[in-house]
Amino acid sequence: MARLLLVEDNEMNRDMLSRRLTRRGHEVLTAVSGHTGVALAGTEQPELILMDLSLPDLDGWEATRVLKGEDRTAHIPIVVLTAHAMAEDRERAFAAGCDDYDTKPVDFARLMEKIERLLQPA
Amino acid sequence: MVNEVIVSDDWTRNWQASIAVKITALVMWVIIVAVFIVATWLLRDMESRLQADFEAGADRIAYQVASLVEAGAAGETADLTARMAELQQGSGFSAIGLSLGQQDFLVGDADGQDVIERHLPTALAPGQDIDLEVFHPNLDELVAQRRNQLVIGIFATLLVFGLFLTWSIRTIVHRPLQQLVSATRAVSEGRREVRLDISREDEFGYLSRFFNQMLDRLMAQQRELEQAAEEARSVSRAKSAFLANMSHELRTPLNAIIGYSEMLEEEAGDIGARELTPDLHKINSAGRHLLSLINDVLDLSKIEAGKIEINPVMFQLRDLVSDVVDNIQPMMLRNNNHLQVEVPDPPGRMFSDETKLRQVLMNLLSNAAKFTEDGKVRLQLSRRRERGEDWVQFVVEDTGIGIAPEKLGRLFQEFSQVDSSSTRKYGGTGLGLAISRRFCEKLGGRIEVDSEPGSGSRFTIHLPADFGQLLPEPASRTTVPATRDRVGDTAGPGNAGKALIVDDNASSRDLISRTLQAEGIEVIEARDGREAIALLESQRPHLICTDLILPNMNGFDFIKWLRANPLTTELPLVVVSAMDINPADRRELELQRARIVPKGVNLRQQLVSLLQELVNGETAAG
Ligand SMILES: Nc1ncnc2c1ncn2[C@@H]1O[C@H](COP(=O)(O)OP(=O)(O)OP(=O)(O)O)[C@@H](O)[C@H]1O
Ligand SMILES: [Mg+2]
Repeated sequence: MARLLLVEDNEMNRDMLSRRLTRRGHEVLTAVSGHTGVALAGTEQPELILMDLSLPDLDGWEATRVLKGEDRTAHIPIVVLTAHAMAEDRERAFAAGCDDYDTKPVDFARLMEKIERLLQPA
Repeated sequence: MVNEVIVSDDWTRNWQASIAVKITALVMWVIIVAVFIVATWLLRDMESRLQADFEAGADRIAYQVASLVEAGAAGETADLTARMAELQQGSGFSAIGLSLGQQDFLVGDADGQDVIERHLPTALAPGQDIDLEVFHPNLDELVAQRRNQLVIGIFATLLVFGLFLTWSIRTIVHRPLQQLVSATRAVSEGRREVRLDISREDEFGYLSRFFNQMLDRLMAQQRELEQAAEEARSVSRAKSAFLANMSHELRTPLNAIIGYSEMLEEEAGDIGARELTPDLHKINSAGRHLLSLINDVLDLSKIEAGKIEINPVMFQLRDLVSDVVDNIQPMMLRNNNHLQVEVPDPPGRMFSDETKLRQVLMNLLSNAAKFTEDGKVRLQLSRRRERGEDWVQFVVEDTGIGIAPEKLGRLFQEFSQVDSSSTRKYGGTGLGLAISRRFCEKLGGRIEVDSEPGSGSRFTIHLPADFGQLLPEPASRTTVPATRDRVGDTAGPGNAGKALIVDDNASSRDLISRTLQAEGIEVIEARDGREAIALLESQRPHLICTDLILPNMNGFDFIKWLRANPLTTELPLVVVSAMDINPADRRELELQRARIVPKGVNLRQQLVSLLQELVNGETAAG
């Protein structure tokens, strides 16, 4: 299916999401911090990035902004995930340039829908 | 708080004058009455007393004159006249006349005077009797004169006395009272630090002392209260922070519980361990329930801390309703309920906090689903105009167990489940409706309930369709002509009209403005959102072209402002942007009815075709 990059620092969440995505047939790369996420995205060229907002070092908003600002990664759709259901987080995430947004705990079916929509060639 | 009003019930209460005036007037009045009585008494028989005095005087003079005459002074006329003049001086009479045989004597001025006559037989010779006339002023005139003197005297004395009285009352009563009054006023205006001079040794001194003591007490109490309030605030802040933190901390492991149980459920299916699925599902739904409880508690603590924020966005009601219905459908099926949705076509847009409204609807619908079995739940949406404003109304009606009338009153209070058995049977914390009510109020609307036990409940929420109208008025609204007609209406087709260009880049502003001018459109320009808003106070363009990235106020905020302002909410809007707009922003802009034209080589051509579209009536406003 597709090659996805999951940037998430919480081990259980990372494990869980990556396993579930893998079960759906996706190839899942993982990164535990903003910096490694950005680096991996540049070298591995995933088709979509799932980005947690509260990350150590580079937070999700910053990482999104960096990814969207670089030619090599600007085209990769980013779905931001956060445990904060605050509207301002969402606004900030969209302002940083993400393509979609979802709150944790993820409704997996809904997340899959979002991913599939973004993966479809525009 | 007991407020006891001490009423002094005397007749001077309704007399509007200062105390000095009141007391002076009263004292003067008493004195005038007394003086009047004394004066009447003094003047009582003045005339007769004067008459008697004169008569007695006349007798005395007659006797003295007779002795003079008898002493033989009569022979020397000049001597007699001189002696008579001596007698008249200081006697109170104005003249004395004497006829002695053939001789008449007169000393003093007898003109116009009353006369008393005396006939004195003498021992000198027969025919030598003395006729004496004593002249004195007219009695009536004299009395009148005396009375006038008395009156003038009395009034002069009264005046002096009154002035003295006023002055002393001023110093003894009025001035300290005045100080008390101004000190009290200062205190009532919030200046607690004023204090009165307490050196007086009279009632005012005591009053001032107590006044100062009272203020000291008050200040001490206030300090205590402030301290207590500050403590309470910090405790409440700490509580909110704790709750927010806690709920975040709780959510992370909960995420894992929910996620793994869901995953295990799937995997159990895959490996053929289907008998595990129901239990795993229970873990999952219990986890989700716990999560919703945590969210509720967090919401409520945010409401209590006054931290709840409204983030109004423009959204399509159709999307909201279908989303809510999708989410609630599983719950409806669980109790075998049928959900019926009634939405006008098209339902239109709403500018409000979509997330909060969604939560309220989910609350009402999940209650309906929870408290109804094998029944019907109806969700109805309608719009109406009330007092010139657009309102959106949602009705959630069920055929469930209903609510007893006596319980309706506190339904919207926190933790008020209709009865405790409800908790056991249906679960829940009793926070849903409390949160819903607070949200509705925050959104400028209200929530109502109507229910009959056994036959069902109906919850209705009314919300203003345009939360923007509740926001502080945009500055321009005050100066724009009061007619509420919309700017968009005046941009009729064929009207070349006026356009406002908002861009910080001078050359792109120039490019757009020349393009528009070539189409016969008048152009006004602003460099950012704020300048544009200032311009809109006096100008009413028919079209606005704006960049997104602007100093001071960016394009998004400017567009939100435009759409929140009734005068510009329908105005055709074109976003001319150099940067790539991401899909989320694009969606947002579409919701705000903005047309997007990328800056680039064919900007001019695109603008022209868009203008033609607008002129042909296919306005961007949808
Ligand atoms: N549609 C309804 N029919 C009958 N009773 C209702 C209905 N809606 C609410 N109630 C009563 O009002 C109470 C309070 O409702 P509320 O939504 O505030 O709390 P809850 O549903 O018990 O818990 P929560 O929503 O926090 O999970 C409910 O417990 C129930 O007794
Ligand atoms: Mg409820």
